[in-house]
Formats: sequence, structure tokens, C-alpha cells
Amino acid sequence: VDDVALHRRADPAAPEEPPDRTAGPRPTERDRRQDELDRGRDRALVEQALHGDLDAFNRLVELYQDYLFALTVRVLADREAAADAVQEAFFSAYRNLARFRGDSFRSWLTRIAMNAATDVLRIRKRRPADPFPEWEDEAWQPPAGEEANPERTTLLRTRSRLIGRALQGITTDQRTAIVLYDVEGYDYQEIADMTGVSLGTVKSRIHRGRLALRDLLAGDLELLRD
Amino acid sequence: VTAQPPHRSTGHVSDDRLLVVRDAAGEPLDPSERARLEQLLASSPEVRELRAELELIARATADAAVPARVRDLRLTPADAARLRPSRLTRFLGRFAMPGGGALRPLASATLTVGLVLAAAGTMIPSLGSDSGTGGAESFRAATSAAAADRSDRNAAEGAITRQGGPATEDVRSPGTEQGPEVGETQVFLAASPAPSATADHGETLVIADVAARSGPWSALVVVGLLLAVVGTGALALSVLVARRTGDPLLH
Repeated sequence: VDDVALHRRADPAAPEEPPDRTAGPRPTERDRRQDELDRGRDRALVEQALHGDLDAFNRLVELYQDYLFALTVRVLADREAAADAVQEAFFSAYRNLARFRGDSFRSWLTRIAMNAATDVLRIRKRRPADPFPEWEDEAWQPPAGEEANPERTTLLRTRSRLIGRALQGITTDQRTAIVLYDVEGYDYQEIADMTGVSLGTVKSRIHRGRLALRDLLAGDLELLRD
Repeated sequence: VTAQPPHRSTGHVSDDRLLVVRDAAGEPLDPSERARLEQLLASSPEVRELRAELELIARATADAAVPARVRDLRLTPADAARLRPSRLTRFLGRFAMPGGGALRPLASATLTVGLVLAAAGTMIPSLGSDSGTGGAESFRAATSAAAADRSDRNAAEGAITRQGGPATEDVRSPGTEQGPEVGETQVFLAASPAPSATADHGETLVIADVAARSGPWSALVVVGLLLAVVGTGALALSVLVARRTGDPLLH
């Protein structure tokens, strides 16, 4: 499985270091500037795509496919299903590009991808018996670098598997909210807009989901400590 | 917090636990909440443990690795050609735009108002006559006077007949042996705006009066039906728009 790699921050446009979520959901000035630049670039590409430039749209795909895949694979725990969901999201975005009125193309795409992932779950109507099976594969190798240390690699793999399993143990709504908040760094209001529920519901899902994760990881918390 | 085991969460989240969860999620707390949290952290090792574990899990979740995507998701020219909306879809898409999105509720409202007006135009005249309004009372009074007048004349005609004179033709419509009761007359009049020709002077006055009053209601029925037709058409258009341009992933 040589195409598997670690992706901590899959969005190439995102800052290298994620904002400190424990300090509060407030983006830094640097984040805001970068966000504005990204939005301007995306709007220009959307305009070109609307005039029939497929390359412009595919540039958007290149920018966001890793990010969307990382998001949906956390929710679906199935690489093929995640790829299908993201592909459907890009199809839908291309078909409805003229209807994009929002400020953030990234958020718009995220909402579409989350809906696609939810559709996949609805169709499947069952949870996979073995989430992230590729993580069990001994042939799995992280990319060279800091993780080249075998012990470190094993630890990271174990942590990722634990988190993946625990995420599959909470409800889909809680999982989606937690992934959007803790992993992707959206704030409560953005998540509410994306998922079409109230601010209070988003908070409740995150709070209850975190407590549920704590219960599920109760016996393995030592493995998560550095 | 101390009342609950450290690794058990119930459906109900206590206020203290919620406070810890909110703080671990980076939510701003007001001064009283902050003071309460500080007090809890200072007094309870379990609360400190809870917050530390929640922060640890949040960090681990953010740092958890995910597998790389399995294929390139760029669109091919064939995909683009297949997905490009047709002219009809683009035209209908205008109605699906913000502002055009109000089509369905507007159509539904028009249809509803139309039906209500049509129903009101049909039912209110009869309801108004049935109710104890002044109009109904005058209607009853006029009907009673006409009945009394007819009774007097029938008595006189009976006397003439008994005396061998020519029989008077019954002014009531054929097949109606008994004159309708007051209520029946009202319903009949309400249902037929055109006054029936009758030789009975009193009844003619009453029918003309009710018919005149039913004119605006008839107009109301027509307007209501027109609105209902327009609303139905707009509703059909909105359904067509939704089918041609709707995308379940965009909800």
C-alpha cells in the first residue's frame, strides 16, 4: 500500500501549525490574512470555471481533494467510500457552480462533502466491522522523516487506530462535529452553518461527543500521552 | 462532578461537567462560571483529571493520521461534458437562485389564499343568513310577511273556489307541494345567485335582496379560483425547478 501517507493537515493552503484549539476558537491574524487570500484565489478560479475553464476547476480540486478526503475518511472510516463521497462532492460543486454565493468556497465544498458522506452512511446503514482496516496492514509505512523511527511509527499508528476506533463509537453527528471542530478548526457557527443545525446543537454534539470519546478511550489514555 | 465516576458519562451532563467540557473546548466563560470552574479545579482532583483528559483527547484527535486518498479526483473533459447543465436546466436554475427560491412558498401561499377566498365566497352568504344577524332577521321577517300574505290570498282563493269560481294557478314550481321552510329557502337562494321567477310578490323581494347581496361573494369565488389556478401553476413550476436543478448534496 505505497500510496498511503500521513496527513495531519491535509489542506495545502492551511497554515502549517494548527491554531491552539485549547486556547479558544479564535483564529490568529495570520490565519485571517491567509484565509482572505485563499478566498480571493478561490473566487477567481470559480469565475474562470464558470466561463468553461475546466483547468481552473481542477485547480480547485487539487487544492481541496486531500483536505476533503481526510475529512470524509474520518467520518466514514473507509477509503474507497470516502473517495467516492469526495468525488460526488466535486461533481455536485461543478454542476452547481453558478449557485455558489458564499464567501468561502472551502466551507461550501465542505458542506457538500459532509452531505455526501452522510448519504453514504445512510445507504450503508451499518458501521464497518473493522474501521480503517489498512491501519492493521503491516505493509503500511509512514513517509520518511521524523516518523522514520520505528518506535515512533508504531506509537503513531497505535494512536491513530485508537482514535479512529473511538470516533466510530460515537454518533455520526457527534463525529462530524468533533472532526470539523478539533481537526479542521472550524468554529461553532461555521459548523452550524455547514450542518444545518443550531449553534446549541453543535455545542451539545461536541460536548457529549468528547465525553463519549473519553469513556471509549478510558483504558488507553496513557498511550495518547507523549 | 464528584458524584460521578471519572470515566462514566450519562445522558444528562451535569452543569459542573459541562463547565469543564466547555472550558476544555476553549469556549469563553463568564466571570461567575470562571470562578466556579476555578473553585472546582482547586477542590477536586477528578475535575482536574477530566479537563486534562479532554484536552489530551482533543489534541490526539487533531493529530491522528489518516490514510492518503486512493485516487486523483480531478474531473475529466468527459465528466465535465456530462455534468454541464443543459439550457433548460440553466433557465430553470434562475428560479432556484436566491430570490427565485421563494417561488414555492409564494405559490403555496397563493394557492391557499385562493382556496380560502373561493370557499369563503361560497359559504359566507349562507352562513350569514343562518346566523342571528340583522340581515337574517330582516330576511326572516320578510319571509314571514310573504308567507302570511300568501296564506291570506290562499284563503281568499279557497273561498272563491268553494264558491265555484275559477281556480287560481299555484305559483310554486311544479313538484313542490309545500313551500320550502325558511332555512331551505335561504340555502337555495345562496346556491343560485339568479333569482327565480315567481309570482309571489313577497318572495320575489326576498330573493332579489339575497341575490343582490350574493354579488360580491360571487366575485370573491371567481378571484379565489383564479388565484388557486395561478398558485397551482406556480407550484408545478417550482416542483419542475426542484427536479431539474435540485441537488440533495446542496441542502
